[in-house]
Amino acid sequence: MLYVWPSYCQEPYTEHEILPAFKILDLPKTWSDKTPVYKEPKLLFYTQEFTYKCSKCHVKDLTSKPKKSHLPFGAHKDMLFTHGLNLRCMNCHNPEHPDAFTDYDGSVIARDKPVFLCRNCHGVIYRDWRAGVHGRINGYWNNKLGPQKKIECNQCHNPHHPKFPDLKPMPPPVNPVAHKYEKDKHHE
Amino acid sequence: MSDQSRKEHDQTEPASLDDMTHEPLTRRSFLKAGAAAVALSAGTAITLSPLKDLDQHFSVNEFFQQHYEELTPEMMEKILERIKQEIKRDYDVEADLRDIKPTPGVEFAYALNLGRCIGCRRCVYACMDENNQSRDPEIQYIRVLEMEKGSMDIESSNHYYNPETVPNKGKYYMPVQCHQCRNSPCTKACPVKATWRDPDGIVVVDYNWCIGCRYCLAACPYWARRFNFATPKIASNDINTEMAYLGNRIRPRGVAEKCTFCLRRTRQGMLPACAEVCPTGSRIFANILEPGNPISYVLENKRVYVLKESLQTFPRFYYFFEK
Amino acid sequence: MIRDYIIFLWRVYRLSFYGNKKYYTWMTFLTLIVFTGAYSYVNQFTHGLAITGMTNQVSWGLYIANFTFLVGLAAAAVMLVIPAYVYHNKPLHDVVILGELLAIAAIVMCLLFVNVDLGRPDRFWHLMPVIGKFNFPVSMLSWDVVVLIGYLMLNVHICGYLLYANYLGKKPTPLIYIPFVFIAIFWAVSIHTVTAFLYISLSGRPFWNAAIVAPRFIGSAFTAGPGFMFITFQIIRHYTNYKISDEALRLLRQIVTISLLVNLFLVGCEVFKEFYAESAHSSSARYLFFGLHGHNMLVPWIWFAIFIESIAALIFLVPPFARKMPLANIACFLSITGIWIEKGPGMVVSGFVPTPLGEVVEYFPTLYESLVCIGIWAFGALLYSWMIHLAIPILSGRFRHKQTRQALQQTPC
Repeated sequence: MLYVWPSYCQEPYTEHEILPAFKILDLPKTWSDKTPVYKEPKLLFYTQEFTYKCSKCHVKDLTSKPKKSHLPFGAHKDMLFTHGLNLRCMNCHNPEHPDAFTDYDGSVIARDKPVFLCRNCHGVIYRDWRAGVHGRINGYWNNKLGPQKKIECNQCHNPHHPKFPDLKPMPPPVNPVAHKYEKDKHHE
Repeated sequence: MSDQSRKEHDQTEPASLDDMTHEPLTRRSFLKAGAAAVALSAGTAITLSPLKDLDQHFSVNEFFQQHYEELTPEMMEKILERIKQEIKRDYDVEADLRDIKPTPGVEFAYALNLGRCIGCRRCVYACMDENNQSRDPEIQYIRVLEMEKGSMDIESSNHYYNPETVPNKGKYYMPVQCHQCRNSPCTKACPVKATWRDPDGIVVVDYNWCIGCRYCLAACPYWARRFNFATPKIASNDINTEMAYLGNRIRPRGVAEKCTFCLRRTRQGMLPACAEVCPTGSRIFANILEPGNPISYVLENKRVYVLKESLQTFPRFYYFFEK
Repeated sequence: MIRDYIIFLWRVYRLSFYGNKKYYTWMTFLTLIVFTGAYSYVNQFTHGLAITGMTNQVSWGLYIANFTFLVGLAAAAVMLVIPAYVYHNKPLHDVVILGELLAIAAIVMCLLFVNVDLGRPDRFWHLMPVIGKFNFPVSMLSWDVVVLIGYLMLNVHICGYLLYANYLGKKPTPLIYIPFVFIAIFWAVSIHTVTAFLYISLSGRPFWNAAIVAPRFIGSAFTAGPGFMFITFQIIRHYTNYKISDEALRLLRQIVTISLLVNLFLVGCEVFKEFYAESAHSSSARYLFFGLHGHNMLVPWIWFAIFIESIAALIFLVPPFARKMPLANIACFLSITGIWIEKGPGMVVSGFVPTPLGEVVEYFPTLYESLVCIGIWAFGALLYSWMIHLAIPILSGRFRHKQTRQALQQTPC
């Protein structure tokens, strides 16, 4: 797979730091198993591969050499960078704070607020997102009756490879004529 | 025919049939009549014999049930209780069945982003999960059409696409479900008012009043209605036990049904199942009377497309593209 | 009075079972078919409409096709009524009641076809005005129920009154039936127009949503109906001593000829409209006439129908053929068959193909479904035979009220 991370870097965040766990979801065997996706919105299609801390390798800041140098760029080797023109690491990652994003003026954007980073370029989409028109919403349309949860950018898009992934489709509907024909054959 | 043969006929038939009514009952005619009666009753018995396999229950109370408009809350209470018992008997589940009314000041609408949908059909199955459709014969409310890029012609669409992964190259996808029209041809067609538009815009069907003429299926320009040709089959553990009378309760055989914007969920403030599950977030649902709702945003800021707009059905379902 | 009527009913009951061997054989034969149909229907009632060939894609089939055809047959009685009552045509006056009886049988068959098509026949009462919940005047189907039941009532009243008056030997009082005859004339046209509106009103189905459907329905009905009577009346003339003049038959043949030509003309108009400037709305017509995306089940049928209708038209038009009675019978039979195909499965089924979402699913009736149809046709034949069996003796004066007979015998005329 594309999003494999070398094992030496897999030191997970502590509980409260972890973003919701991502994984490429397998198709449920029947959609009717008792925890359908829409009942408890568990997201989504990516393993949250970002369960490491950049500062584990990049000691001081991102421009400095990694702590373990026996695998230069190994950690990034298998990654796919297809984010259009935006191919420079420091466009998004804060050079001084390896675990955070950078704003256009060099200030820090907290890691759990990716929206504030992405909106710098994707203004229109950000506006849509804020209006509830881009990205999924879960929960209640009527927030007087219950909570509404907006999914954030990197819960659906891999920042380095932002195109939405291809998915295996659920089975097609039954063609009634073919179905009848099969049934008749079965009866015989 | 010649006159000669006509005369022959005249000779063979008596000039008057008066005698016929005074014909005494003879032993012979009695036996004849008896034989005929035996043959007739045997025929009737054979004719009625398939009834022993009848799998649909017909109850007297249901037979005399009044139209939805005329039901008092007490009557509805009894009906709900009866249906719960029927579900218990037929499917062995305890249903939480309620008659959920529309909220004043709420009108629903739906928008679907054609630029984002990838045709993964998760909405189709989430819908089945929520709405207790028959699994055999299979009934689905949402049909996802695989369309040729560069064309809006739904006749060239593919309903049965099944590649390894979607989206397919050179295709885009258009899911179609009930458009909850403001000028709905289906409710106009129904001869018995078994289907109507509720004030929140949802077109509902009373499954206990529908006579199953399927005129609404013929009338719908979006092919959004389905008919229960057989008694719905659904495994007990697939049943969503939270049910609404006009919504997702298990249907009887021989009635029409359709998407109700998941009224069991939406009338209680939740989003419909299809919108909740869409991985691409293409599906947007809102109360259009609420200021600043996403649908108004879409209508204002996006390029909106109404399917078969020329038919003037004024759907509550909009397709849109990225600007 | 009432006593007389009760005696009349009792005697009618006795007369129903009085007949020669041919009568009994024919009626037993029909009864057997009716039972076969009823057995198939009970099967359908038990297992649901799933045992028919209908699907969500093609949600109406043979039942509604037959229904549509039979409404036309019932409406066609008006083609006897207008000349007989409006223009006082003598030869047709003798047979007009036979035509009205045919209308009664046809309407009963229509109602049966509607009923077997229902998913919930137990809820038929919802369709009844007053006791049910009637979506009137919005739903075209509710209009159809009103006009069909009304037409049935009108004809039952007219035929019942005329026959009973004949039985009593009285001259029918014009005030009691003539107004109804004139209402029935308009009503007859309206039943078929409303049936056409049933289809025309569906804007989502461009094949049906065309004004030409109504005139085509009328044209085909006035071909099939009088054609049917043309053959039936000869059979009646053959097996009973009831006098039906050649004049009446000639007139019927004329009606069939003209209507058939009008019908073919309208078919031509439709074909031109659909195919000269073919659009997405022509898909159903393309499916019907040429096949769509490799599906062409109806193509041979519709061309066969047009072919035999053309043959019939030729027989009617070319003078040496036109004079021969057996050939005219064949022509009538061909046009009835052609119209049944064209108006029944041709019109009804192809309206569903493709679906509004462009899916092509073909329809083929199952055995049970076909047996139910045949059973209903047999029931209609049974009903019509029975009514003829009663009407002929009454009309020819062999079945009369007792005092009437005595009075007639005493006064030589």
